Amino acid sequence: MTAKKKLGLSAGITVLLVSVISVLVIQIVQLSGLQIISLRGCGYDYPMDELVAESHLIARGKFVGDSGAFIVEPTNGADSSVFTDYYFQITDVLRGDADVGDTVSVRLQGGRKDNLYVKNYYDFAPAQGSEAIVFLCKVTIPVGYITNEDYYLPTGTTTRSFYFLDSSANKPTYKCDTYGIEPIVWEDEKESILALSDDMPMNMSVLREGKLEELESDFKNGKLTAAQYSKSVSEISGNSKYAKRID
Amino acid sequence: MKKTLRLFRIINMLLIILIIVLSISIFSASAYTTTGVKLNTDYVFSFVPYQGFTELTIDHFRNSANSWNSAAGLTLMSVSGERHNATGYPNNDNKHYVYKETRSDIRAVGQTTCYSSAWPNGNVLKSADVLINSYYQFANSQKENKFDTWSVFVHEAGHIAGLNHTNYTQDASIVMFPQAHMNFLRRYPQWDDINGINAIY
Ligand SMILES: [Zn+2]
Repeated sequence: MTAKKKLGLSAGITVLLVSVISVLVIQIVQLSGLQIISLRGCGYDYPMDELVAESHLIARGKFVGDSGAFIVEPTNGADSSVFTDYYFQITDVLRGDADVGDTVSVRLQGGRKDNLYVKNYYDFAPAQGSEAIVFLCKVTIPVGYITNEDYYLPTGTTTRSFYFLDSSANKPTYKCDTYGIEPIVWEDEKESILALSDDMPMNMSVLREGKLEELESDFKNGKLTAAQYSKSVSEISGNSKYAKRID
Repeated sequence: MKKTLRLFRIINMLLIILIIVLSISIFSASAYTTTGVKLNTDYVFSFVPYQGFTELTIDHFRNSANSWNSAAGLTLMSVSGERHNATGYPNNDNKHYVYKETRSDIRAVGQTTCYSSAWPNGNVLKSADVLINSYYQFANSQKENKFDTWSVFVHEAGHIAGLNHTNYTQDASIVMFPQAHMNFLRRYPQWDDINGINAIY
């Protein structure tokens, strides 16, 4: 091997080593600044009648894409968090204020944006192209992470609120960092959902019934301070501020 | 002839071993999964409840913490004598608060937020907060149209200890079952929860 060749080889190795080391250093610096927020919880295992009663929109359609992760900054002093909107194109409306052909946004918590990494372990991100019947609700009271935009939330956790109609449901996507248990194709209930009539009674107060009365008695019993009582009342009656979406 | 007999015996023995191995693996089939982030056992994780909880509810929080401690054979967590009056769940302030808020934006009966870093010490919990979501109705007992606070809290405390959910198809009496039910008690760690916690600590 000539001296020139030797020099070239060692220079090559040096460049390779330097680049590998710098990539590692960059990764370590990024990782050490990364805040991991893991969400776990238990959703209500809604019986079908209550799931129907609590849903503003029950529709059949297809998940066609997503917004990518964005940050929501609440006004209640809680931490900012990361969300993703999933776009659902409607092919049949079983109940609600939407038309066939409309695309609605379904918002799920979870995703990675800048140094915030929110892992949601109880919802799964629907696979693009998967067909489903979805049970959605629209929260208009500006509480917590609710922003002033036109979007829906799943009525319960996704396991209960998304009923998949095809095998693509068995290929959930975790790209937006939702890690919930696998979606289930609910063979037993599919027929009964499809048979739902669009004039089903809607009762949005199933679970909120008595909430104001409960707060009042908590306040009278000294369980809530005057400030907490008025804050909770305003959250329920809609006088507080919307959270801010930061893309 | 002798050779065939010996071969037959060996095959027989192998079959018996196979059956034993199979039955062990079937009967010890675990459902639990872990989060990969555990408590630092040099400290006791101390929950600070919201002042709006009744003393009975706080006793139930304490029972939940104690039941995980006895399942693990370690003092992992406790409930502080302090109370907080904060709202704004979750908050990464290292305070381990149990919040009670009416959160229609969070579609869960109870929720836990765990804070950790990717590197270093990615497998040790830095902090956590718990939400008892009063958007849903709670009671301190088994009651129609109400969730038992104890049953919800013991599940959330299990997450903080490092347990993830079981599968939806598992027995709903396991504390780490993913869904909550009204008019239902699920207050004590079951065989699978106990196996899970002992696999972590
Ligand atoms: Zn959970």
